[in-house]
This record gives sequence, C-alpha cells and structure tokens, in this order.
Amino acid sequence: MVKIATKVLVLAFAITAGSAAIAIATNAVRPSGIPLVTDIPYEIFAPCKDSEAEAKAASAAELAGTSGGVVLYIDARPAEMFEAEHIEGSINVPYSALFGAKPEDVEKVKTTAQAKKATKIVVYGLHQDAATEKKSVDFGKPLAQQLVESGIKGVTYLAGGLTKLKESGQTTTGKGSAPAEKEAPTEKGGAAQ
Amino acid sequence: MNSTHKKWILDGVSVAARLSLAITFIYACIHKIAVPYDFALQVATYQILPLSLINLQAIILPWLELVTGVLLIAGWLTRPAALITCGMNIMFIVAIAMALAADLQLQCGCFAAADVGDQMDSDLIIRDAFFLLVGAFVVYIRPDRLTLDHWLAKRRQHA
Repeated sequence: MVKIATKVLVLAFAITAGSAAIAIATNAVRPSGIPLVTDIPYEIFAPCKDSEAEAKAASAAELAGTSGGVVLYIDARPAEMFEAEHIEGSINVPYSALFGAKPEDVEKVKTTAQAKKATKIVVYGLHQDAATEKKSVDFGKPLAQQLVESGIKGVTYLAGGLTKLKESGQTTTGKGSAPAEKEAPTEKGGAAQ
Repeated sequence: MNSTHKKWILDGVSVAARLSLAITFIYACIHKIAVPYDFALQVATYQILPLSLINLQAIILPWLELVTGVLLIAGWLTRPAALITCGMNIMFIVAIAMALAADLQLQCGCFAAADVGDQMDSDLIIRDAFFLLVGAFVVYIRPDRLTLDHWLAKRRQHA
C-alpha cells in the first residue's frame, strides 16, 4: 500500500513537472505569451467591503483635501437625479446601460482627479427613494469598471450607493428629493453587491 | 448480485468519475490557455499570491489541467492524475474561501474570462469539494477496465 502511494505521489510530481515544462516552453514561443515573472502590478478591480468602509470614512474634510487622501465621488445616476441630490463635491457621469458613459465625461473624471490630486475615486449609483422604496438601477459598478478600463487608477464603487453614503453621514446637496427617481428604471430585489 | 456485476458497476462508476473530472478540467483550461493574460489578471485579483508568482501560476496551472484531463480520459497514470486534480481542487477551495473571507466580490475565473465566469459565492466551494471527492474516489479505486493502465498491467502479467 505504502509502495503504491509513494509511486502515485512520485508520478504526480513527474506529471506536474512535465506539464510545467510544456507550459513554459509553449508560453515562450507563442505570440500571446506572458513574461514568467512580472514586476508591474496588475490593475485589479476587486471591490470589497473595505472600499465601503473607506468611503464611509471619507468625510467632507477629505473631500476638501484637509486630511488624508482626497476622495473624488462620481455619481453614475441620470443628470436629473444628480441635480436633485448628490454628495457634495461629486461630479455627475450619467451611465447608460446601452452606451456606457460618454468619453468626454470619462475625460472629465480624469482631469478632475488630476486637478484635485484625488487618491481614491468612489463611484456610486444606487439610491432608494424613502417614500416609494423604489430603487434606481445601480450603475456604480459598470461605471467604475469603465473608468478602470480607461486607465484611471484608484477607482472603486460603493455597494449601496448614495443611500449607503447618506446613512454613513455624508452630506448631500441638491434641489431636494427627486421626482425623476420615481420614473427611473427600477430593479426588484435590492442593491447590487 | 454477484461479484462480476459489482465489478462492472464499480467500473461504470469509475469511468463516469474519471470522465467527468477530465471533461471539467479540460473545459476549464481552454480559455486560460488561449488568453493567459486574462487568467493572470484573474489570479492577481484573488490577492493571494505575490506578484512574482502570479504569471508562473497563470502559465502552468491551465496546462496542468489539460495534461491531467487528457491522462484521465486515456486512463494512463490515472491515479497520479486524479491525485493532481485533488491537489488543484484543494487549492481552489482555499483560494475561494480566502476571497470569501476577505469579502472580495469577484468572478471565480474557474472556467473562463471575468465577464462570463461564476460569481464568487460559497456554492463554488461545494462544487470544488464535490470534484475533490470524485478525484479521491478515482485515486482510491483500482483503475477500471477501460483504462490504458488496466491494459498495460494485463500485458505485463502476460509477458
């Protein structure tokens, strides 16, 4: 029994070594091969609850750049909803399910982030209307993805969107509660992520 | 039920287990081999491995999946190949558990690119645990009569 187990183990190592040799050799000759070792970090897009916590901690003081890193908030909702209510200092990049965000809006994010020396860009989309309990579609995540793909660094999205930000004490500004919100597309079942 | 029937049933189960493992692993490796960069990015997203090991893992793992899959279909070196699948499944379970513990909301990257992969949740652990059991079964039982191992062993006996 021990003899068989040892033999199986040795053969498993041999197969692994053989496969590794084939893999490395194939990778070396193919045009789409990647370097064996990279020293350039991958641009990871992995939103997690940590980002939510950071966004909560990102107070108005940080927005003003007086403490810690500067957080730039991006509102992914339609313009009328943004006008009705948004986080102070945020910029509106309306996201369309069909066409995504406009390239000029993405460019605006880039230039604003550079101008404000933003270390973190937090995208939010979702907002639940307190009266009707209807929710807008959460475009925070796809917009964040588009921003990352366009080469903007430090992008994250906020699960729970504007509602979550307000709950965490972020101050909002705008014309008041949005009637447009009731007309906005809704999704049953709750917040993304 | 006599022993011959039992043997045939066991062989049938063994073939099913072997082939299901093989097909799963071969299917899983296709996209990873075709677009190694995508898979490297997926590995990086787990934030487990150091940067220096990400590419190496992304290059070697899919080929290991392919080789073990082919060996399992052929029934050659069946037990070592199944043992490797067990090792890989344990690795996947640990990685998924760590990602879940860290609350990373990412695609598992098990079968394809990020946009079509499975969303990270505990069901993936159950799935990989199932394949781990299947692999352990193939390691434990004697290779069935449809394997090259069986044929080679028979030939050695006759020689």
